[in-house]
Amino acid sequence: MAAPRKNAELKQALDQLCALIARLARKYSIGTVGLTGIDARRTSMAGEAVELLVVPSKMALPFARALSDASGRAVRMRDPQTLPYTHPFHYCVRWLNVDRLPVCPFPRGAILTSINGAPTAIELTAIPHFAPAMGYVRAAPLAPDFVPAPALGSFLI
Amino acid sequence: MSLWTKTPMFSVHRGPVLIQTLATCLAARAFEETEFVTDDRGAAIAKLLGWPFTNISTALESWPTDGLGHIWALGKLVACAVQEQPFVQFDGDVMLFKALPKRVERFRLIAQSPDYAHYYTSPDMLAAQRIAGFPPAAPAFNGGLLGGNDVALVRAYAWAGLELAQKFRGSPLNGTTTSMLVEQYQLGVFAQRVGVEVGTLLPLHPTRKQVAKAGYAHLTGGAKRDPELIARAEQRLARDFPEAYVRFLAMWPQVEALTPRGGCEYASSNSSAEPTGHQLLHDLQGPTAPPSRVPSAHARKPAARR
Repeated sequence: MAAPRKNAELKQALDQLCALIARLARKYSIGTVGLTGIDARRTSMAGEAVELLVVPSKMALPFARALSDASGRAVRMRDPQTLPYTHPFHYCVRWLNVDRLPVCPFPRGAILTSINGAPTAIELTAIPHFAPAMGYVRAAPLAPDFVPAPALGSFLI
Repeated sequence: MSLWTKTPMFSVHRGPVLIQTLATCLAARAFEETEFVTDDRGAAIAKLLGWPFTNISTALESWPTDGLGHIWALGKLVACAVQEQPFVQFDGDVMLFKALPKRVERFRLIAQSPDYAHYYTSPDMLAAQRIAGFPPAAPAFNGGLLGGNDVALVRAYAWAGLELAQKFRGSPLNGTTTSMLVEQYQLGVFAQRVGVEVGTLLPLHPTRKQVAKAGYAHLTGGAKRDPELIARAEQRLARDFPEAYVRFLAMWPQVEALTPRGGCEYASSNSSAEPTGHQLLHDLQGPTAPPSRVPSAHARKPAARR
């Protein structure tokens, strides 16, 4: 019985986190936010950072600070357009507070094969925020914005 | 509380010392008896700043540290090893806004909270576990708060840690990795070996509500140097413990002078946006008496037993 209960707890925690992110995203007017990484995969472990895809804007960092403060977790933001199209974060995103999906180009005809060598796990064209590009797509260096988790109980001071 | 000034990790900066001053004042309010285990320089700092401890011990002055100075957690273990009554040891960056709940006091071994498993999986940490002869993936505990009501058992844990540290004499592993192993990982291994449950004040990932209920803050790592947190701690010290704050302002230059590597990263960079200490007091309380008129210790009201 432990596993279903754990799954239910994770789902509840994820729903709460999504609601919090969406609320803060509206408050800080940052448009579409994608929750990805461990939370989107529902393998979240306590103490790990919240991974977000956020289109850069002036309000992104204040938003991340507010989220870190409210959730007690570190927050790492990445620009979806500079995240290499091969990055696994692209393939498991919960888009929240959807304004419009950021469009990320990928080399025309590229496919993703699964780790087990099965022919095709998913076609990039099946992912709404990918758009085929003619030719090579330059992957910009990753430069995530990182907001550390607040110190334990610092709000009491 | 303990302070080991002989470890190379020790340095004096205004922000962390101010936070420790607030921590000592809060602890004196929460507990009936508080002891400070330190060395001669630490005792001098405590006396200058008027830290309100019931007793100051300099047990760390004579502690032999050849080749072990980098393991900064040994100061805490020595403090635990010399206790003779049930106690709880807390770090200098731990703020106890309330006494410990009874449910925690009942445990033979006490820690702040379970610690994150992934802190103990780095290659360095795995190497340290091999040197120690510990199994991987044992439970670890955050040692911001350490102690228990079975003082013999807590002392046995502390002595086991001090003994274990000998294996790391001259080791290339860094002091923080080794400290986490001999203090926090060792607590989990020790508790398993003796079959005793470690009671924790907080769960692994506490909610804001649980933290508020416990009245507990732990300003780990860089948080002690965060200007915003330092400013808030300064305001809290000035508001809740004005005598201690005025004394801190008056004595800080002498504390700095006591230490060869003394620094003042925060005070020296006070910009116009940051209130100065006396300005802050003035804003909070109106004109104040000059520092020289401040008594050496603040009054304490009776608190929970410990």
